[in-house]
Amino acid sequence: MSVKMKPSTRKLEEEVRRAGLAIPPSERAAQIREDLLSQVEALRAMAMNSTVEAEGEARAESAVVPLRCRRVTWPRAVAAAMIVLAVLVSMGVASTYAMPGNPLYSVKRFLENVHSAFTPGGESEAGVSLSHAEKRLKELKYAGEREMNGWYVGLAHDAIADIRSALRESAGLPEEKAGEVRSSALALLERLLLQLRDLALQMPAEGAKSLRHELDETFQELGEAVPPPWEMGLEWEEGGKPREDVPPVPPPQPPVETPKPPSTPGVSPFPSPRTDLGSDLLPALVSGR
Amino acid sequence: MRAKAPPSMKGLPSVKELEEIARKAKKYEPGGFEALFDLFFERIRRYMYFHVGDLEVADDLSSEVFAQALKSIGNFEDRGGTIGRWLYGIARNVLAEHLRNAERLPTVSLEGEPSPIPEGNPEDETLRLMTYEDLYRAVRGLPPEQREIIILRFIEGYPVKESAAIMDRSPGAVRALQHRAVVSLRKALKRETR
Repeated sequence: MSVKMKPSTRKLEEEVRRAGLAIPPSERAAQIREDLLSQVEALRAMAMNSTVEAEGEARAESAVVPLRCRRVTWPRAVAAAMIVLAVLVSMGVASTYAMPGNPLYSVKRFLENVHSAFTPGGESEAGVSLSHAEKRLKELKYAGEREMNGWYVGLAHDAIADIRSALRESAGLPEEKAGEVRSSALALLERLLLQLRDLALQMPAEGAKSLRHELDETFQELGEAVPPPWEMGLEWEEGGKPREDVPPVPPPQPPVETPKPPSTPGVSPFPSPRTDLGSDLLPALVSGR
Repeated sequence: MRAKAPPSMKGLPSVKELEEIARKAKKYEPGGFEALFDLFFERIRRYMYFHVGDLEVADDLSSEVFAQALKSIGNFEDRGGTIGRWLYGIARNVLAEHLRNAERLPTVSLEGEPSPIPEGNPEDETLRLMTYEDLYRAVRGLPPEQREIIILRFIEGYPVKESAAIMDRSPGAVRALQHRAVVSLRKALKRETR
């Protein structure tokens, strides 16, 4: 519907229209049009690509999984996942008691590593490391009883590594807690030495040397006297023969009651390995057993 | 529900043709956006020129309108040949943004413009003495809404209903606005020709 206008208004409208149409056409219109149409071309190409991709994906999806199968996919997937989970949990539980040579032993070690990785540092991690070291000692004993020679060096090495890890963690703990960790570490080291005394002659020479080196360093970290090599049972020549430079065996003497030196702070209350170990090791070494 | 198709406007294709152009433009099909540009670019540019008074700025703003239209053509829903209304909606937004940013409206003289309107009807002395330049200035001097209704109704020839849709007003309000705009324009022209 149009507005009724007086003749003069119609005239005005006409003149205004003529004035509007008299505006010269844009000189830039062609350039603007060209730019715009090149954008349209680009958008058209993009739209075609996305359409082709979407169609391709839809076809692939419908080809791989027919509609009838989609209904049963979810329950099957959930059931499969639950079975896998149950198997993994069973393996984890069973592997807790696995000993060297058992197929699940590697699972046990893997879970231990995961446990260590997710344990926060400090006292907790020191405790975990010490418990792992204790397990290695048990495993070493188990291997020794069954003469599983190939396991000795590795297990001993891992036990020392766990002990040293605990000592490193203890550095940031309060004095009292650090002392407890150091005491436990020293006790484990002594147990390790006792076990190694029986197993040393069955180890390869290179492995035994590296163990001795690690033990030296660990005792130094603890500030304890380093046991002489022959006391540690790790000094021999290839073929099980004793070294010629091994010091002579001192004659057995009755134990003499000597007053204990006052304990100094930071030093373990445990007796030095030098005083407790080696006396019964030496004959075995000398005889080349 | 589909809205009633607007009556065809002067110089514009039929509603069906407009719908076809819009459909092609929306899918970036050849001939779609080209036709849209060819139909509406000069109209939008005139609309801009009467508001800003500068042909260069009118070119820039019109170009911006079509750039924005290209970006948002995917969201356009045709309600029966309403692509033009949609473009003017974008133009109004672009213009409002421009006016917000501009400190003042620039004025540019149109050198070389045709001069005086050929002598015709002697009953209106004002119109006889008026030049296009006077008319441009007079239209630009109107309040924005009166200016807009003069452009839509007189220059572009949109019917009341379509103008009302573009301006987001009722047809009655548009008629009243047009009346006030004509009165104001007459006064302004008298001042310009004195």
